[in-house]
Amino acid sequence: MSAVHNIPAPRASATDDAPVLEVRDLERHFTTSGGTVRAVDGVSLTIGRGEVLGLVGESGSGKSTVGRCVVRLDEPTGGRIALKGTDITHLSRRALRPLRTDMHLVFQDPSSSLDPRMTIGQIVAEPLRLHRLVPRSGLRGRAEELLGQVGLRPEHADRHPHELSGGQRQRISLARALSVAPDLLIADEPTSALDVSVQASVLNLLADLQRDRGFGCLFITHDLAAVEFLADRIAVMYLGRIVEEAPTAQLFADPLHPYTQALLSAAPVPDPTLQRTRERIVLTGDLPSPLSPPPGCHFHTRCPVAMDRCRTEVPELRELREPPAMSRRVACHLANTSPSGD
Amino acid sequence: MKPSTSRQALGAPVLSVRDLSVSFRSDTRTVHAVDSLSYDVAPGEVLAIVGESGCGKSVTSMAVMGLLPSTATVTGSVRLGDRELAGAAEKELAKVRGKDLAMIFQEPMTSLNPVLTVGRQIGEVLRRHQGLSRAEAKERSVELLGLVGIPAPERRVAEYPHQLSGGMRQRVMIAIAVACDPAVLIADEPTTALDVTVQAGILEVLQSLRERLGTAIVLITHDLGVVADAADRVLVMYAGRAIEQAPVDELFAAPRHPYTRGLLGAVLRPGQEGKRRLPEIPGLVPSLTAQPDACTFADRCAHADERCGTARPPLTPDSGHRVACWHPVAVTHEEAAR
Repeated sequence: MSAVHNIPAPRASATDDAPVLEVRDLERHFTTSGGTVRAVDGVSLTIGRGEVLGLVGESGSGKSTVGRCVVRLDEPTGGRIALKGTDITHLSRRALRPLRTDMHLVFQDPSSSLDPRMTIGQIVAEPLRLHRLVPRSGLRGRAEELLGQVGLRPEHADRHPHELSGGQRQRISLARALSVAPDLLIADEPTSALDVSVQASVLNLLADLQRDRGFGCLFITHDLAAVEFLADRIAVMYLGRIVEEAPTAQLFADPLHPYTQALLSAAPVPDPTLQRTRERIVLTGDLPSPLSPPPGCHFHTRCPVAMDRCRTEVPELRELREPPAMSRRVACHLANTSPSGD
Repeated sequence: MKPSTSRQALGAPVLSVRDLSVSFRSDTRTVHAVDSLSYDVAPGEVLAIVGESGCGKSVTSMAVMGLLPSTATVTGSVRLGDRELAGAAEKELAKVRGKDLAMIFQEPMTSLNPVLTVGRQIGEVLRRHQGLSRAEAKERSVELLGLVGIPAPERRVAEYPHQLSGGMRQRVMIAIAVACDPAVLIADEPTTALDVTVQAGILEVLQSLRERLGTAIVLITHDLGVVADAADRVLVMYAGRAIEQAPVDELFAAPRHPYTRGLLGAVLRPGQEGKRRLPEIPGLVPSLTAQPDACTFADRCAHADERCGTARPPLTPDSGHRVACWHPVAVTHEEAAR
């Protein structure tokens, strides 16, 4: 194990102007007795420095699998992942270790991702200790400092996770993730298990930290309002593929893909007067099995405007350039031929 | 969902809960989960009970159904029509549950029996409460599956829960719940475990049941979007107590309790978010081991004074927009105009 620390970090190949994260044609197929599950089926996305990309989708869309592949908790079966210009797709665990300080993952449920037998201080300082970034004697002080940055008190360092509330535990996860000052934070449903008022404070904290520290963020969620609050750009996934990607304001103002439109219309607005005036697009049928996704456009079985072409031909995720030079991508035959395209 | 036109013509309440209190005793302490809660629901009305984790909204519904374990102490009155359910014998309750008073839960997979077909599970209620024969029960099951919007009900009726998606399972739960045309349906977080496009379908089903069968619905949820969509009236709970109750439009337009105001301020509104800072509610929910003669929100409230710490504010007035606060937020002209 001691030899690990002698391996030079492969950062030499990284360039400073490379995006924090670049994912190309990512595939994660699982082989099961019933056939191949295409959980992630050709996903490409880029996150620039200090940019927050929201990855939105419903259960089974593959959004969490993308996150897990990016931090290599899951092995991609195809495609390429580059972290700050360094290809990490097939790096060994050992070669990956120095890069672990560049990216960190925050999970949905802090009560299951924090070790119940460690004190909060130990939990927060663990990445610093493992990466030998801070001498042992300095760990406690640094942990208290980090706790302060996430709105907790130094005394919390001596407590255990079960003594804290859900919101406080999620703050611990954030403090831990930020201890190594990563350039990329991957947050998988970080606020979904929290109550409304607690969620607000955690989202505010995440926004503050992101602004102050300037890390890039892949924010994975099913919560459209939360992603709108945090993200600069949003990518929408359906059954393993990205169907639309656009700057946040544009996606909400003018969703182009029929699935995005249905998704936005289905989320009830907490305003009864406004909610009564909204048209809700209710999708028919269920999400098709990822074991046998429909041919052509994956969404055609539930799409209210599907044509014959959608049943056979896979729509490419095409770049649309709109004035004023806002780039957005959409994978729909109809959107591609609309006047707003090209 | 659209508000019912019956709101003006509400009849006598079909379900009437008065001074309901629930406490749980353990060796070391007593937790007062619900503290003197009262509410009425009229036929065809949707009453939403809203609150955050631990506010007592689910315990309330379990108490109304008589489903709490023996460690719970329940006091107060629960009247369904002219029958008193609180303190009734289990045998009496069994006649009412699933017939006049039905309930659906958050997670349909844990409520359905995995080894019985969907048809058997719907039929069970019909045969038990309505004495239908096996064949009649099956026929009616198919009808009910159609009623809750399940495609190809003749085929689905013979399937097992694992063959259905989450949304379909919740529709089956609803079919079981409404099989005997109950007067009141208690829906405890019915869409929380579902995706938003699936939730949309379930909300439509509940709406159509209320319209077609005149079922009164008690909708328990933490999701203010669902409340805005589905409710006629809203009861806000905090730390086991009702703190505000109002028609849905009034509650959202002009909340009077500082907690309700905080809650509505903190909620995210899809499609309306700028990069604003979300208002937070400082502090934590109090522990429920005491029933202080005080406002339980006082510690976290910007308007609190001495009185709030020494006297429990009553829920006033007796009808309309009711609030339990010594210093309710004044309604602004702008809000009054809405």
